[in-house]
Amino acid sequence: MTPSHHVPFDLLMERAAGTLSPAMALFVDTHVALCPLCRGQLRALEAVGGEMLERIAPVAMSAGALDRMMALIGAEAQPRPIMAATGMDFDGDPAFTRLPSVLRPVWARSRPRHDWRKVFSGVSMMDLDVPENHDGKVLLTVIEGDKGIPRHSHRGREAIIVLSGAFQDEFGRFGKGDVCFCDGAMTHKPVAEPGEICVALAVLELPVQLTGVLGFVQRVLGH
Amino acid sequence: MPFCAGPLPHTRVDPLTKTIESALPLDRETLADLVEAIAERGDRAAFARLFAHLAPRLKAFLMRLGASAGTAEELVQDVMLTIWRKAASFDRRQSSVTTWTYTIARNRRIDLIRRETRPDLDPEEPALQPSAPVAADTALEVERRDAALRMAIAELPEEQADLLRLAYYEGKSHSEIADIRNLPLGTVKSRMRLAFNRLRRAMEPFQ
Ligand SMILES: [Zn+2]
Repeated sequence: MTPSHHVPFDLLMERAAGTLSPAMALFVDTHVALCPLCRGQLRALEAVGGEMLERIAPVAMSAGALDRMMALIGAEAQPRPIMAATGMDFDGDPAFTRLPSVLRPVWARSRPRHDWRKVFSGVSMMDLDVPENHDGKVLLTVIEGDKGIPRHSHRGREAIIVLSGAFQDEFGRFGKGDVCFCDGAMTHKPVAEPGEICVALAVLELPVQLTGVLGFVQRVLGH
Repeated sequence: MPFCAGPLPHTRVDPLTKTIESALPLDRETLADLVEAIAERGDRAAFARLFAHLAPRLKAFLMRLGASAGTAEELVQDVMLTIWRKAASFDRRQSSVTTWTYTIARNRRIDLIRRETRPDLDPEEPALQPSAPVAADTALEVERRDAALRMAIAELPEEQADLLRLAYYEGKSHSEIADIRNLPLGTVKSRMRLAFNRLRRAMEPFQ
């Protein structure tokens, strides 16, 4: 099913031009993997990049560049058909099987260093390692059916994308591939729909600040 | 380093690079045939022709993004090596060789500039993952789309073309562009949108 909440076109433009942070680039790539509509748009924007590359005034390579290149590939084995990442040891992690393939290698790289943390009843989170992500966090979140995250506001921008299942908050229903952006004074209380676990990816640009009685939540989240 | 602007000259052996340039700039189908020849049988001659076409463009592109000539050539080598290794992940029904190459170079450049080190080739490189299909895309439609796009880019008003160059050639984010051109961020975003709306309209019949 096609998602109904999309990434803004600005983000697709910046993704195509390569000017997003690695964390936001991963976020956009994740949505695009789940959304044929935005995938088509991003492809078109990348075709603009291809066209820009084609039109650029070429700069001659230095003497011997081709020879060096041919020597390099001479040392290589025959190119092989590319294989999708398979056979990763996912420890029976129920979230893993619900990840789109763009996230699986990131999960595999992060898993040895980060554990699932039970944050609230029925809610677990795991950090993902993404390069150059000094002032933010990338979190994989699992919410069991009918469980939720207490009401909170946001100090920085938070971008969330649902990978599996669905949650609802006061802004609507968010199913697979749907994105939502929270910032500033905006508060929400996401609750997973009954049944299927809800797996989501969250990119936090600055620590989330939780309001109300649940200030302790912030400590639990480790911010 | 000489700057060769304009169309490629007719067949000649470049004394510097010893590359044989083909009579005409390689067209889309020929480029795709070359990548497939590499994927299917490790065709080194095909790779050399592809290098002759792509390397000087990649070098120019990476230098515009701020790399020195030396770094740019190293990166060109990386990108071309990636193309050699991953030729089988190219799908001519989904994009042109130049667009595919662009996405590899773009991601590689981000790695390099952000980390200021030379990380190994990233096996997770999104451009190299088997791609999910785009509905109703046929090779011919993609080709027509790119041709329409080429025309539309050439016809963009200068103020919009300028922003595209800053974004794609110089890797500037929208807020950096706002600073450089002394424009409100909102203006940059709306001009970008205008540019892309034009380009999208041009491509629309083929999507
Ligand atoms: Zn979308």
